[in-house]
Amino acid sequence: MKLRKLSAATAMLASGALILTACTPGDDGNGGNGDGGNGDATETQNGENGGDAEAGVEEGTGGEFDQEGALYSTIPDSGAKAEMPEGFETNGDTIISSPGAVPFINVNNDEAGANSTGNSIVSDRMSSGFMYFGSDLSIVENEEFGSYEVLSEDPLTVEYTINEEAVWSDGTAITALDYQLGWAGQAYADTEESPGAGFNPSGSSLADYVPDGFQAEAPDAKTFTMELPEYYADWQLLVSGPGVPAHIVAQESDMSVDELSTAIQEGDLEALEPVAEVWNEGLGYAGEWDPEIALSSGPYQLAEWNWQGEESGGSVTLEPNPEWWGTPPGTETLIFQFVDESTHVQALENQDINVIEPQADEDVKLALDDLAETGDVVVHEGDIASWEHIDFQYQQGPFAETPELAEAFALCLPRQEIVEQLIQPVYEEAEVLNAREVLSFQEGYDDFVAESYDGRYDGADVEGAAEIIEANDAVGTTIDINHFGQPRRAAAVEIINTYCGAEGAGFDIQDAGDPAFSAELLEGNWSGVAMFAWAGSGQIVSGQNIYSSDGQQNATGYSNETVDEQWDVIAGNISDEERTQALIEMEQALWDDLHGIPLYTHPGVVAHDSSIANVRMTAAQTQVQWNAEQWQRAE
Amino acid sequence: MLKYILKRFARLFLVLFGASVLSYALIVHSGDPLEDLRESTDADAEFQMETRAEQLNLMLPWTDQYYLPWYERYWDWLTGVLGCLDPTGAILSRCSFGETVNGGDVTAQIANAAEISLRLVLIATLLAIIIGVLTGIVSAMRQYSFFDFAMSFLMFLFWSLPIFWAAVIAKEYLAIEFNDWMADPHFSQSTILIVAAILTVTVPMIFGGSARRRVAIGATMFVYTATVMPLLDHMHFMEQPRLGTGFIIVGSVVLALGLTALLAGLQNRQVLISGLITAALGVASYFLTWDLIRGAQSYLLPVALFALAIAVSVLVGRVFGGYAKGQATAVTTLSGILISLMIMLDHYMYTWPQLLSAKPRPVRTIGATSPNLGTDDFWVVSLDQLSQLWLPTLVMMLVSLATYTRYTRSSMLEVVQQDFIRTARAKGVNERTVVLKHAFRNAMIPLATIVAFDFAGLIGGAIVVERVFGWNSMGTMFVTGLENVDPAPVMAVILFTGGIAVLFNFIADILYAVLDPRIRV
Repeated sequence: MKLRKLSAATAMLASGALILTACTPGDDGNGGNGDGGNGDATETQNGENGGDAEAGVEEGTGGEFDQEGALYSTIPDSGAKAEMPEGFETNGDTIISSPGAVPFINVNNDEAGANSTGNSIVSDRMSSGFMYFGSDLSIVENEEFGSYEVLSEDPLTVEYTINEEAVWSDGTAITALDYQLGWAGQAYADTEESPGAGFNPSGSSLADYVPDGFQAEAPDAKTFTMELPEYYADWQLLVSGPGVPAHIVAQESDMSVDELSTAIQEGDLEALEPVAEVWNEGLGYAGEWDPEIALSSGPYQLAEWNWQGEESGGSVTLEPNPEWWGTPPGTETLIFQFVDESTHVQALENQDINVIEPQADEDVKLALDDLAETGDVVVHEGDIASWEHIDFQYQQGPFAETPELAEAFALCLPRQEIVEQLIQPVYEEAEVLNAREVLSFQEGYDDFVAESYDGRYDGADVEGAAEIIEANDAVGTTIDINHFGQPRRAAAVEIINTYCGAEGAGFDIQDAGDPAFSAELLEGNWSGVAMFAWAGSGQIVSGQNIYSSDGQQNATGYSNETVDEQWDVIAGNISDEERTQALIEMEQALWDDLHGIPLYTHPGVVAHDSSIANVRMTAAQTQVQWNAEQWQRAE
Repeated sequence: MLKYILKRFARLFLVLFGASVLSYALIVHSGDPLEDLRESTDADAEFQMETRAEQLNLMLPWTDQYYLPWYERYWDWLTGVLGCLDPTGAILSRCSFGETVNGGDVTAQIANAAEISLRLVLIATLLAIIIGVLTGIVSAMRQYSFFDFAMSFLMFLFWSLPIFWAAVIAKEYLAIEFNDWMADPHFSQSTILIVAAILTVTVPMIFGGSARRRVAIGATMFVYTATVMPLLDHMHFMEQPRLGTGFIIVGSVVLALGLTALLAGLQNRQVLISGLITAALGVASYFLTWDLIRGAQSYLLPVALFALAIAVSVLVGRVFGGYAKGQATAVTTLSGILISLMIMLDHYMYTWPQLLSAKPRPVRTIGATSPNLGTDDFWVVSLDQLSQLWLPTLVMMLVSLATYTRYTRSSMLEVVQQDFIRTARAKGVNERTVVLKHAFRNAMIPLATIVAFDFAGLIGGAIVVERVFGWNSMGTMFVTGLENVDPAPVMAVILFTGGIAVLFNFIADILYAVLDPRIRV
């Protein structure tokens, strides 16, 4: 009974409630609530557009360097960044992208701990340099920043000239000393052989190839020279951005710019110790930063750094660099949010992230294609600079005992089928790769293949393979296919098994996938074949390490005089035509001797909000963010 | 007793030590930390391998400089961790959870990650306990009713949800679809009808009673929903929600009345008066503190006011409770807490339009905060965090809800059949007192054990949820660490979650010993 009374009272009160709403605090009487701050938020979000920047946007046609349905201010016609049209202005807008889960950790991108794609993607937006990798892995000179020319061939001497207008974001000129400091970071690092000043760099090649450092007339000179005592074919990759601002490093380590210059020239390790400390983690590290120290030499500068720990997470917000002298960046606010790739597709759908480059597998591709059907999303697919191949082990196992079997394995290998079943669902135009030193998306690939490879392993010739196996009395020979245990490689092994296995050519194919194989790969104590990928870095001579008899990455005991000779030619100081010729001869020898067989280049997928113009996929490791300064939302 | 506690405490360390040795060995042997560099053709790849090997004390084929077997690496790690037991740093080494493969400090990282994970798990556990226990009691009270069966079905459904899948589905419907709807939030005719129909069926099931009463409640619910929803729609409630003065006043009074009815009975005038005084104070404070709370810069002010509200409520209960001080205090405190939460809700509702203008799609599928909020206003930032927190919390809560509901239900049913309950009923004690005072209290004892287990289990489940929602905390530390074959961060997570599990069991053990002297041997 009491309960009923209670509910009656409740009902009475409830109806009274609506009448009483009149004097609610904070109500402005216009039916709307919210404080004055309201308006500001709207402005920063949707803000005034900087002029009619989106005027001349065209739709891509699906050519070699553009994507059908995507918008471009200028349709790109090469791997280099497209020249933005006259009057390209910064748009008051926000674009969010994610370089994956590993966060930006160090403003100095050359420090060892900062050696991640996540770090360099953010860092590259805040710096510019003499060169960058185009979307086809070509080396592009960046004339906005400066120029370089070869002064002498022997020894190779290169003169670098920094643009007169090039300044750090505090207005101080970018000078030769900035480059000398970058060199010192490698040259005066602690190594096994010699103690240094405590620098902790992520590489050593600059100091190895340029032992004397950069020569300049004065620390504040805009020109400097680099001399290589021994010729290095990839010398162009040694120098690009100015790294960290030397005048700030000097100031932070309580010395003058001249003192810093002298210390570097003289290799004064004691004086350089405080410098190394600043260089390592003192310019902005793990979310601790100062806008007057973390300077930028590129189109953007650091605006906000939401640090949430090293393993992943957080975000970085960039804003245009006020002192930037080149083409203005396309968007006022560029945000990088560090989240795992598995969350990217839903995040794109919810517009949490506007540009994504997720793991390119079939499920992701299907999900993205669904999104693309609504017209709100554009999907790009293509090759990336990582290529899958099979290497034969000639030191032990079946191919050491009977080298002829390598020929049989190569004949029955269903390369076309592997590409059709595993790669084409992600990238429809994917093809079988027929070269090692020139990848399918690179310039001149078709001519290169036409001259170096005669198509002998194109069709999976099961019968031909079976004949060889029988002739060598090797039916049922066990072939281990070693790999790191990824699902795609396991699927490839299954396809190979149907052609080369007991039902096909007559081998006994074993799937030896194991994550621990990675540690054994280069030691070479495995047998059978190895299926793995080389991640291309755009270098000319990296293959020398793999194919020459005493190469460090030669794990199969492969040795061929022609190959060794040709590599010496390739690594030497020769013209591009001569180099291509040497590469062709070298590849021919690799095919004849069956060092291994290339399979395919890995596919990549990029997707973005269809209203954002100028998003381009790249094969290089710089990821889709490589031209983020050109991204702009078109209305 | 002291000996018992010490013994248990020593065992705690033994368990942790064993677990850490085992995990360390497993992590170190789980893969190749240099895998990515081995496939690299970069000119500096070899240099980077050496740097990484030095960092991790690994052996490389071309240099044996940095080789240490795994047990020595473990020892290095252990001495660092043991240092944390010695705050002075004089006897043992410096406190350190080691360094990541990139040279980052794990100690700072685990502190940060643990805070985020705990926030998620604590809220999910609390909600699961409250909702689970309530559902469990109602299920037990209405045993074998349609409500009971429906709840059993739902709970088993939630319980068997793969947490990963549930999280992805939650993102699809409660984030993406909800945001799409929020672009132009209107209730369609059919939505209104469906919601009204659902409430018409479910609400009477919870209230129970005679068939006539059920029909009456059902009909009221239908009419109520079918009028209120179009009205809210007309008021643009989804864009500009407010509770408003009316709701706050009525709500406060209803809360005071309801809690009194539930805990003491309306005939108890002392308690009723205390409750109503609290309600009046609550309404008054709603108006008086409005501007003060709007100007809040951090959680400090709302939390301080909340504490003050509780203190005042307790005081009211003590002063006006008279002979029924205990019950009165319970009623006033609970009313105080709930009214404060209601006022807080109104403040958040007031902020909602601001959040919408800063963030037109209010629920993001990733991250604990929004990077592009573009404002530092405390209320917007805080509401943003809430809107990011609610989906992962919901998923984790749903999964652990089943345990609490089922345990409460069976425990309640068992207790209700005991002799002392029958005695109480025979003495003429009213049903409310029987259920709440005699049955409920005794039914809660076994639940204390489950909380300990469930909490540790949820931290494990959080690893998956965090990953799907792009949160950065212990889950990501664990997975990334394992991918890099980097023992320090993984060990920190294992030590932390393991520590919590062991600690909770330790507390449960002690509680048992306190409750039951027979256990102290």
